[in-house]
Amino acid sequence: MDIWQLHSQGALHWEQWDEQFALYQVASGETHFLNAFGAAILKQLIAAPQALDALCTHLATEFDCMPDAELCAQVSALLTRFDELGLIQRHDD
Amino acid sequence: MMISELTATELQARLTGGGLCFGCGPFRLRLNSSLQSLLTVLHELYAHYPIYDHSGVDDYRMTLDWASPLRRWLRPVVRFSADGPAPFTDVPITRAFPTLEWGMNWCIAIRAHHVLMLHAAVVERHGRVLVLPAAPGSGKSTLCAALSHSGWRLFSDEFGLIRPEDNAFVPIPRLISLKNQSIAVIRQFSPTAYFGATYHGTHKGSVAHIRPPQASVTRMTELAPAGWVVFPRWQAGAALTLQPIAKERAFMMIASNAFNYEVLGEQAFKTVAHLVNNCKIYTLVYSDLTQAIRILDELTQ
Repeated sequence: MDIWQLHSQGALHWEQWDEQFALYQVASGETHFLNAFGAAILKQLIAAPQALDALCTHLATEFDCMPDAELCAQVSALLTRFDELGLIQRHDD
Repeated sequence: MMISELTATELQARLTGGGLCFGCGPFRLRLNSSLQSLLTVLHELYAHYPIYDHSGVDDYRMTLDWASPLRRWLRPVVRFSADGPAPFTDVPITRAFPTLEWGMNWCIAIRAHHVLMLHAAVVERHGRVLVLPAAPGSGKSTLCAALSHSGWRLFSDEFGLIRPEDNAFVPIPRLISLKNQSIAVIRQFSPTAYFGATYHGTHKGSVAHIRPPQASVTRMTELAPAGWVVFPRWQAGAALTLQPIAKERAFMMIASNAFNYEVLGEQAFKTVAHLVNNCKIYTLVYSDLTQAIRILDELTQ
């Protein structure tokens, strides 16, 4: 099972305005702009490396929705995007 | 001592000898040139800048001179250089001064990485600055020229310099460069503005420079925090609108507007965040300068 984790622990700077976030990754020097959903995924992974299923369960609770296939597909797509951006990485555990 | 206090002979001796060392904002510049045509324009437009002696360490060493001895006589062209190869192509002698101005801007833009550099006009009143970031052609310099002749202190029409350690804006009151229709607009708006010659046929069209008000130069070591950020856009016939914009959008716009955001990295992120979190931020669309000035005066009371 794939476990997702941050690419560089502790090397992110956050700014938040209502439900919008700016994120600076020190390792890459990149600035990213996230909505509340994307930020919640990253904050879950900051708290602890997690598998997709566990992430979806946490996010369903946080956003008060069903942990169904649609949610998992959305989370999976964002994880892939964050992986491409070098924010997170996966490894088999 | 100011440049205006030099006689033409003394100015020429410096330019052709050890260099004319002068201060502009936080920078110490040294200029060498044997171009006779520069003497009058420097004497008039650079009148209020302080002269420094030759013993200090220069931030920028610039030369504006004939491209070669022969090209002084045959279709005369001049070359700007600064501590290395010429960054621009040679230009006809008639465009020497605008090239010097662009050259100084180029020097600052590529090397002043101890500050975050926004592409913005900046003016100050009541101890806080109004930052006007904008893309070329947005009417930024026109608005800046009008404000700086309406009771605001000129920091810059081109560079918003922010010192990351305390987020203070640093004045760099260089000449205000106006293009095309803006020249007539400001001549009419502020008859007291001190204009240099108009240079036609440059790659930016017709260009003229305004000497910064003397008080802006005299007070160029007085930094100030930001109070407002306004993204201006001149649009012919447009109704005046001043609208607040969301902080995250403002962050994106300011970060992408900076010359050296990527160079400063983490420091730039924190500096932009401080600016966004501590200012009121708006977009301004205007077609009438007087209306624009009035609404900015009201905003910043």
